[in-house]
Parts: sequence; C-alpha cells; structure tokens
Amino acid sequence: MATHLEPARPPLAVPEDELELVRRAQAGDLAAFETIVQRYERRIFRLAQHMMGNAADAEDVLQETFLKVHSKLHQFQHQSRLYTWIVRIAVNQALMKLRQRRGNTVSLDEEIATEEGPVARELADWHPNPEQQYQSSELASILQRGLESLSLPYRLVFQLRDVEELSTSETAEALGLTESAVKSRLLRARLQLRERLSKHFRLKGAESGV
Amino acid sequence: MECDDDCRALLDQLGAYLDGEVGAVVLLQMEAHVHACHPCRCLVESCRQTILVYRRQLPPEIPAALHRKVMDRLGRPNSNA
Repeated sequence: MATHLEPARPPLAVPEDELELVRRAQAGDLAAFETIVQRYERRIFRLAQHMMGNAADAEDVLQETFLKVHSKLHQFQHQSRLYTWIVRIAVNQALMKLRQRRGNTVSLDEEIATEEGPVARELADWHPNPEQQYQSSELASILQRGLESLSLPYRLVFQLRDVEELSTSETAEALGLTESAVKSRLLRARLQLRERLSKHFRLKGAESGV
Repeated sequence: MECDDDCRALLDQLGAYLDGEVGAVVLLQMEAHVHACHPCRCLVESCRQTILVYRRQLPPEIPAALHRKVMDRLGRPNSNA
C-alpha cells in the first residue's frame, strides 16, 4: 500500500522557453514580459488572496508584484527558478501591505510553539474523494476557511509547499526561513488543516475520537 | 487512545513519510505499521487527502481588467483586451 503522497500532477518544471523569455524581457521586450505575466498571474493572485484575505488587496499586490518584477528583472540571474523569484517578491509586497494595514506587527518570524501537542487521532476514515461530497463553490469556501484559520506563517508554508508545489529549499528561500523551519511548520500546518477539514470530509456515521 | 512506540515513530517522521523522503528500510517499517494500525492509517490518509484536495483546486481566473492594468502601468496598452 503506497501511503506517501502521490503528486496530483508532475512537479512544476521550468518551461523550456523561459531562459529566452527572460533574456528578451530583460532587453526591454514587453511582449515577452507579458508572456511571463500571463504564465504566473493566476497563481500569484491566488497566493495574494490567501495572504490578504480579500480580492481588492490581492489585486493591488499582484500589480505591485509584476511592476517590481519588471523593474528588477535585470538583476535576475537564474540562480533560482523565475517563479520562485516572483513568489519571493509577491510575499514581500503582501507583507508590506499587511503591515500598513495592521501596523508593523506582521512577521513570518513570530514565535511558534515547537513543542508538539497531542495530535488528534481521527479514528474515522475520510471520504475517498472529498470533491464529490460538495458543490465546487461550497468546497472552495470550506477550503478557504480552513486556510484562513491558520496563522500566517503556517498558511504561507502550506501554500508554497503543498499548493504551489515549491520544493522545501525553494520555500525556505522565498520566505527567508531555514529548511528545518519549513518542514516543522509544514507538518503543523498539515495537521491543523486536517483537523479542521475532518468534520466536513469524514465518512458519515464513522466514529471519531482522540 | 494510547500511542505505542510505532505510532510515536510514525508521528515523528510523518512529514518526511508523506513526502516520500524516508529511507527504504524505515519506509517498509512505516508501511507495515500503517497497514496494521487503523488510527495511523486514518491519520496518514486524511493528511494526504488534505494536501491533495487543496492541490487539485485550480487558481482563480484573473479579473479581465487586472491584467490590462498591469500592462498599462508598464506603458503599453494590452493587445488581448
């Protein structure tokens, strides 16, 4: 029985034309830059929405991100994937906006309890395909509420590692964390999300317990 | 429910296990435990489902005007408008 994670799709690869696109965009070709924007804007918008919690602020973050990408593109030297570099800029733009909104109290370095509490050990099996239990809009709402229930440092790590499928090292690079911190936060994020989704996705009539 | 040593070992390496990052010998031990222990199997499978249900969600469509705004601010009207 293979119980480790089977990727839903192949890991994200660097598109073959990316080197050339970046070279052209760095030389001032706006059409090439627009192709880069089109390639990543939906994922950056999703990331911004999950960080900001509303579409209006996410739109601002997306605009500021790609303006910054454009102005800094001459500094990009392919030491990371372009997407990872763009994500790092988007995260910084979103953090700046959150700090403006909440005062200078938003940090990814906030103290996080590292001692593992008891893991709620759900005795119930989950529905094998949760998507079949709910209408798509209802499912999206459940998943959105689940993510929003996580603190920002956990939410971001889960978003980058498990949703956007960045590697541990790419996530660490994008967030300015150690790989060890990424792994620790990711596990806690997964366990917290799992616990919050369980009431929606466990098989009806199945027993549960801790 | 009490945790025995095998359950604790699984919890300690759950992240690496979910990501397929444990070595072959440990993997076999963990697979055997998961197969035999219903609570641990539920835990592993529900964690796995948690990840996949998010991963399968497609990113939202971008509002039509938003892409145009970005390109307009860079100084060129968008040709896809």
